[in-house]
Amino acid sequence: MTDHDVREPTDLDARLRTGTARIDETRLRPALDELVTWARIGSTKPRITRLRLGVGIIAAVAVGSATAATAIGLNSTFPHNGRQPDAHWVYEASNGQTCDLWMRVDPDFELDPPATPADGATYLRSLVGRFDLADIDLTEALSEWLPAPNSSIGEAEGTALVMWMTHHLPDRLPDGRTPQVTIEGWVDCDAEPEE
Amino acid sequence: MTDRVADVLTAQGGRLLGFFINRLENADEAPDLLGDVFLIAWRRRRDLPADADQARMWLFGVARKVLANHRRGKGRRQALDARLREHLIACVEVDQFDGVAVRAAVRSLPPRLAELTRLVAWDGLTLEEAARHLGIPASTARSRYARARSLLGISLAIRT
Repeated sequence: MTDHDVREPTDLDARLRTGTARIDETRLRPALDELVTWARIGSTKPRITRLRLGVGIIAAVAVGSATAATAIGLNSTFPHNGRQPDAHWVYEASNGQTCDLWMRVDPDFELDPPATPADGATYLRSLVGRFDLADIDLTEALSEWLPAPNSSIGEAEGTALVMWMTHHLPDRLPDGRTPQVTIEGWVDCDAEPEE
Repeated sequence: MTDRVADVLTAQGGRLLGFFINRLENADEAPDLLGDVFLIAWRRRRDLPADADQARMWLFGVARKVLANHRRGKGRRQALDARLREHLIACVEVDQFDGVAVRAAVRSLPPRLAELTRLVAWDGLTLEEAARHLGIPASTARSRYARARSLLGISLAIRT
């Protein structure tokens, strides 16, 4: 080592700092906001504690074929588009929120032979009837899905419930046909309880 | 309560992300570990100290345990959404030139000295806070840090 190589003592701190990761706090902020929402909802015990069907839940539904998919609208008014929802659920989320969940099977698909509204009603009944609500654990569905920022826990769990259902659809209709459906769900909850 | 937890996590998120990146060989794993810290913090939010400095130290303690679990390969990993993971990691820059040599020099220190150096030089803890974090007397931390600086000065050709 020569004198030329020797730096002043304060250089050590400056050089040490070059070894640390530099974080762009401004860019980081939106991602942290999302992460906070993710942690808040993911930290709950996501189990729907009470679920009952609304009155007249299954209306006439048209059923056809399409790739299974789910469209979720949080805090949105149910877009009737001339149709009523096919199912209306009321549930109590793990934090005590009471929520409404409307579901609809997408009618814009076809089967061979073409499905009838009665097929859709049968399908939804078979879907609902196969679930033991006490066994529904939404942990996996929630871990696969990033909730929208500012979602309440009830909204997140309701959305996860719809996702859970799409993952557990019956493989066959009662008549043996393979259902390929799109299920849409809308969630609306009362205010979150104060901690 | 929930707003305060969110505020603390948001305020400390950058430092905690840096805590992991400075210690992991694969920085891409840091967002998942940060997610684990956030989850634990939210589950245990009633234990989060009210004092801001103590809350920061509490979170660093959680991060240390999360990292230890990760290294043992037993940590429960919560896979973050890929988009969020990319978003988080995109905010990080590690010096690719001089910084590489410095990181190598810190890594080459005895582990007790290396971790103390990371806490003080990179994570912004005081020597007293670092001592508390590591569970050692402050006097021990001071002597170890002096030793670490001396060794770093030699390996980086800097007079200390």
